Order: sequence, then C-alpha cells, then structure tokens
Amino acid sequence: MANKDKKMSHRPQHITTIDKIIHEPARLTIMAQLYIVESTDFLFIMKQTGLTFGNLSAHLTKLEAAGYITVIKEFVGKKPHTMLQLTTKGRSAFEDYRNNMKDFLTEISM
Amino acid sequence: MSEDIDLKQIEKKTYKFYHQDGIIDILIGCGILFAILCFLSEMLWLSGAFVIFAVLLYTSIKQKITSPRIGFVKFGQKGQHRTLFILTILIGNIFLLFFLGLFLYRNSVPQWITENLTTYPSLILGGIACILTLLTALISGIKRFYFYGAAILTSFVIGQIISIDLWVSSTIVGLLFFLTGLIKLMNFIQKYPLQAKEIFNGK
Repeated sequence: MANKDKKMSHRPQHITTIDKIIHEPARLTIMAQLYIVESTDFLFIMKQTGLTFGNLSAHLTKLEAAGYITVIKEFVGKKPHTMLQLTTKGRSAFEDYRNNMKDFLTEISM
Repeated sequence: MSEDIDLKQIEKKTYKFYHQDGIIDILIGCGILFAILCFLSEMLWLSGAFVIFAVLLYTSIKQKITSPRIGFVKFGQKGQHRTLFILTILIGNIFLLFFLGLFLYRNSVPQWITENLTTYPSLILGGIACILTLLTALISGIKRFYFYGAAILTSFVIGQIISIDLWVSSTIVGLLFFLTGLIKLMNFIQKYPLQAKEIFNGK
C-alpha cells in the first residue's frame, strides 16, 4: 500500500505546465512553422501543414484569441493578402512549451 | 526518444519547399550561358550586368509563379543570411573568375599559379565551382545542388582529360542548370495548380 502511494505521488510535475493550446498537433505545427519565419501568408501555412481551409481557419482563430499570433491584412497590388505572424507572447509561449515538454519527457523517462 | 522539436530541420525543410520551383536553377543556368556568350564575344564586363537583372527577375517570377501557388513567406534573419550567403557564393564565383582573368591579362599572377592554370584549367575551375556548389547545397539544404556539384566536377574532369575548351564544359553545366530548372518548374506548376489561391480569394 505504501509502495502504491509512493508511486502515485511520483506523478510528473511538469504535466500541469504544458500549454494545452499549443499542445494540439495541428496548432503545434502552425506554431513551429511561424516560429522559424518572420511572417507568412495563409496559403503557405495551408500547404505546409496539409490542413484544409476551414480547419486551419479554426486553429488560427484559437491562436489569435490566445494572443499567440497576429493576422495582418494587407494589399498586394489590388489583391487582399493575409499575413500571419507570431507575437512576442506567442514566441515566448512556444519556447516555454518546448522547455516544459523537454522537462516532462525527461521526467517520465527517468 | 527525441525530447525536442528539431527547428533547424523544419527551417531547412521550409526553405527547400519554397525553392522547389527551379527558378533559381534557371537563372543560374542563364547566367552561366550569358557569361559564356559575353566571353566569346569578348565583352566579359557585360556578364556582371546579369546579376542585377537576375535579382529583379527572380523577385518578379517568384511573385507571379511561386506565391500564387504555394504562398508567400518572409524568412527571418537566419533565412535572409542563408540567401545572402548563397548569393555571395554565386556572385563571388563570378567576380573570382573576373579578377583572375584580369590579373592573367595583366600578367601579374605568380608564376606557379599561371603554370597550374594553363596546365590544368578545367580541373582547377571545375574543382572551385564544385566546392562552391556543394557548400551552397550544405547551407541551403537544397539537395539537387549536390547533384550539380558532382555534374560540374565530372564535366570539367572529362574536359581536362579529352582537352576540350573551357567554354564547352561551362556550356554543358549552364545547360544542365537551365534544363533541370525548367523541368522542376514544369513539375511545380503541374503539382501546384492555381486552384488553391482561387478558393482562398473566393472565401
């Protein structure tokens, strides 16, 4: 019994610090893509992630609501152009997510 | 088990994805062929003008062909440094040959360099071009540049063995860049038709 309690109390501590918004696979891919570039348009992210228009829109809305990305609407010639960019908050959230995941995975593999 | 997201790998993959259209290959091929034409018509100074023309053309083609199909991306400082490094290598290559030609013309090159250059011209030129191309492949992550590096070396080594003129080997290399780029561009246009952009604009 004492052994069981000991095992139960040895739960990974970092699990609570994992950002659930970023942790979703599609959003994680979007965040990773936006992290490595300065800015990109909707179409490029769609091609890179393989998500459909609707699906990508939904994920981007969630990331925008969390303040992780910013949507910049601009005109190239006469055509509307939507550029996506990671905010400072989003950039630091992604870095934190990476560190927390690293710690979490190290912890559970010990 | 990997405990981290390999961002460098993602960055290279993205860079490769954006340059899969073969436009850069076509322009390099055109640049080489143009330089040969200038060389044969004894107007080597004109070959430098192509660099300015190529940069403008590259931006314009990217906007007209690539961006409507796979989208537009602004790479951060790292990506810009990578592009700058590749351009430096390619432009540096042209200037290296230009200054070498100038010094040879003025007979102010050390004797041992002149001797080696006149004995093994294809081998030296091919070797330098091959190293620079392989370096470009390594930095950019664009794998077809490894193939170009090998092809350049093969072409110039064969040129040295069977004693053909430098411009013949260079023409083969130029044509190889141009044709490979053209095939890549055709495949790219077929693989990514304009449909996606139209859907996006319609929404």
